[in-house]
Parts: sequence; structure tokens; C-alpha cells
Amino acid sequence: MSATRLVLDAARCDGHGICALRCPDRVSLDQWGYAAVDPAPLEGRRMQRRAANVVAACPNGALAIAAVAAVAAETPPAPPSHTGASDNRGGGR
Amino acid sequence: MTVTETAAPPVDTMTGVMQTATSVVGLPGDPGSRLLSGPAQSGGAESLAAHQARLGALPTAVHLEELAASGLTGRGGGNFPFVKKVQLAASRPGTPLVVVNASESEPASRKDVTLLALRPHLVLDGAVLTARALGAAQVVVYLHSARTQSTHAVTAAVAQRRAAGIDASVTVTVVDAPQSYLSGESSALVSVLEGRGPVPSLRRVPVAATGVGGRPTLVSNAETYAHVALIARFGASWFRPGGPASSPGSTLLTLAGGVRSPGLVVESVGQTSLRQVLSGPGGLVEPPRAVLIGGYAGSWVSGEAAWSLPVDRSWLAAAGTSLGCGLVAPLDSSACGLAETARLLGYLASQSAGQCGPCVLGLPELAERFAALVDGQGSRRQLRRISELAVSIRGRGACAHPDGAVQLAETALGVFATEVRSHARRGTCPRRRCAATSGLPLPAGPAVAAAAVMSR
Repeated sequence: MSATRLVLDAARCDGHGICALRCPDRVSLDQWGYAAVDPAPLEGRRMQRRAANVVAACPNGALAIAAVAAVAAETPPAPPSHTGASDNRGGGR
Repeated sequence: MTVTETAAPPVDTMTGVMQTATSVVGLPGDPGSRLLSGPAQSGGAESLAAHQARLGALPTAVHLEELAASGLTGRGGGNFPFVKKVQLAASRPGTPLVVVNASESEPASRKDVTLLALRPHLVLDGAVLTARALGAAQVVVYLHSARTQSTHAVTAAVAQRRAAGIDASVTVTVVDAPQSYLSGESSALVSVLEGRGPVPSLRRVPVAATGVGGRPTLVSNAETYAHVALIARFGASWFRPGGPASSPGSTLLTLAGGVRSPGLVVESVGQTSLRQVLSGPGGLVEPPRAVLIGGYAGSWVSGEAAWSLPVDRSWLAAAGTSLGCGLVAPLDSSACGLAETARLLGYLASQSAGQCGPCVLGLPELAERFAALVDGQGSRRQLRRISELAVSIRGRGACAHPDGAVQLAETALGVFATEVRSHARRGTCPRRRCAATSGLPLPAGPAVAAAAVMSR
């Protein structure tokens, strides 16, 4: 089976926060209480089961599981980051 | 490549000037231009008869191999290879729809309205040829009807073509874009064409694959189609030397801000630098303090650095400074970059579609904190909080709008570091120019008009 990851449709997230409670390995809540998803691959059956649970538990249907290979096509093209400025996006906050 | 025998090439010579590294910055009517060659600007929109007399009749087809060989990329800011988008749309089931995105919602940008106002048939030729290549029966021209000159030029051009019967199986429709910064974003555009508001959405697949009503929807910038019209006539090997090797073909730019004629559209032909673009006739004689490149959600670059930058979409994107919509706006010598950035951030915050929390809550705070910097509240804590905000906002929206605002803010902090310190110490900039206006226009109000089909 190919690697999968959790993806968030930020336009649907209202900050209910169930995802961060149930899948803290991959979801945290930002300073405003909205979900921030770590795009790292879901490792192991236990984490994959948790991720599937939060996809089902989100009251707004804002989460989905996607193949890692498909990530590039799904992410909206971000403006390139400025050279010299810090370039850490996703994952490491 | 074949050159239509009857057609005069849109440059004065097919060899020589364009084949070498010689640079030209063309104005409307300048024979050195490509998209804007032909009658001078004062002549208004070129009629179908004049267009065909100058460039020859509409070619029967544009071949995908020719488009691929041309290396044409999108001129709306994405810089995505045009042929790949066409191929994606062609590979999907359903009747494709071709959309000319002429909404040009960047407040200071004028290149698309200028192109439509002067050369409407060039844009329509390219769109109709693309529709034929895809087997599409419908072309939508999506524009702001409040810009009356370009709208009249397009509706008149559509009527002329219909009377002449040249587009045969393809119907061209003009649709009014709502007044909002995001109305030209491709997923927001699809939302409007589906009868909803200009609201972006996270696309699991690009709109070229699944767009309006699930149909493959090829959304490209107006200028991109105008290039298609010339590639179909003169071929890829004519097109490519119009730009640097890494970004083939010429490109339109709008000059704004601290220039003699804000809103002036120039065509960069060949290998040019921003210095050549900005120091043209009546232009700047020395580097400005800074240049805003790519749009209001673009990048500030110091004037010294900008002076030597090439007009090369791919090179600039790799360097982290997208040419975006082609806006090149030197900071006016009487303006403060920090105050300008605060003003632009306030505008960008007001234009959030209101869907994603980090954009809804983060952008207003970012704008407020920049306003505080202008007011002299430039403590380390303030700057630290701005950095935190940038991290919290970037990459967190369904569209790239919040990322663009962060890009503007972060590049401003880098370029205007001296101003930040001076404001913190003395409550003003080194040259005390913070209250001056800069010539970067903002729309009067955020009125969002409902989309209306204007003609069929």
C-alpha cells in the first residue's frame, strides 16, 4: 500500500478540535484553535486507524486521507518564498 | 514551423533583432513590440478587418506540438506550461470549456485591460484556436465590466467576428467578474461561473481537469491566449527569442507607483533587465529605494537588487520573486515603504474570502501590527509576534491568498529594516515621508457585485 497522509480543507475547518484530541501525532491546534495538519506520512496501522477516525469525526468533513504522491497536485500553488527569509513551512511549527 | 506567407510578422524583421540578445521594451504601436505592434494606442481597438490585414486570417488550427515547442507559460502569475494545461483538459471526459481570465483584479495592473482595449482579436483568436484544439464549443471572456474601454472593445470584437462568421463552431460569451481581489483566482472563477460568489476552494484536482459543472475548464490569462494567436501564425521558433531562454516569448508588464506614467503597459521583448524597463523614455535615472514586484501580494526588492534583475519569469520564480501579474512598482521617492506595506496589508486582509481561520484572523492582525510599526511601536516583541504570525498563516489557507500577504510582509521587513528602526526610535522614517501617498491605488470600496452574463 502506498504511503498516505492527512489533508485539511482549511475552508471547512471551524476549530472544533476533535482531530487534535484524537490524532495528536499529526494534528495540532494553532493559536486561534484551528487545525494545523502535519503532512508527514501516516506511519503504522495504529496511526492510520486514528487518522481514519478523525476524518470520520470532523463535524465539517474538513479532513481527508490522500496518497502522499498526490499531495503536490492537491496543495494550492504557494507563492515562492523569499530567498534569505526563513523557509520552513508545514510540519515543523 | 511555417510562416503564413500573406501575413506580415508582428516585428519588423523575422531575423536579426529578435534572434540576438538585443533587448527591446516596446510600447503600444512600437514595431519592436509583438503583442502590441500595429496601430498606435490612440487608434483604440484594432478592428477585425485591420487585424486580419496586418496578421492574416485566423489560422485553421494551433498544433499542440507547436505550443509545446514554444515553451509558452501562463502570464497570469502561475507560469505553468500552457500546453500541459491543455493536455490535461483534453485528457478528461466531458465537454471542455475555455475561459479567458481577463479579470485582472490586481488594483494597479493594466496589462490585460490594455491588451483587450487595443488588440481584442489577438486574444479572441488565441482562445478560439485553443477551443478548437480541445473540441470545445464555448469560450468565456471573464472581465470587470466597470473597465468600460476594454469591455466595449471585447463586445464589439465578438460582434464583428459573429458577423464575419469566422469562429464557426465556437460561441464566445462575456461574463462580468465580481469586484474582489480574489475573483480571478481560478477556483473562485469557477465558483462564479457556477452561479456562486467569488470564493476559492481547495481543489483536489486542478480546474483544467474538473471545473465548471465538472467539465474540464481551461482557465488562462488573456495575455497567454494572445501569444497563442501569434504562435499559431509564426511558430515556436519565432516566439521563443522574444524572451530569455528560460522564459520564452515576450511578456507584458504594468509600471506603477513611483514612475512618470503609472499604469503604463510595456512589452519586454528579448533579454531585458528591470533597469531597462524602468529607465526607458521618461523613466528613472537611478535605482529607487525599493520595487514591488508581481502584485500587491508580491515581493519588495531593494532598488539596488531590482536594478539588475532579469525580466525572466522562471528565473525570478526560482529566486523567490515571482513576476506574478507583471506589476513592477518602484516605491515613490516621496513615500515610506513601511507605511505602504501596512496600507496594502490592510487591503489584502479586507479581501479575504472569509473561509479559513488563519486568513480571517491572521491577516487583520498582521496589518494592524504593521500599522503599529509605522506608529513607532517597533519593539523586538512586536517583530517577534509578526514572525510568529507569518509562520501561523503561511500554507494554512485553501488558496494562496494568505501566503501572498505573508510574502509581502516578510519581504518588507527585510528591505525596510532601516525604516523599521527609524520609526521605532523617532516615530517616523529617515526622510519623514510616511504621510505621503505613493501612487499605488486601492479600489474605492469592497463592493461585491453579483455576476451577470452580459452578452451571449
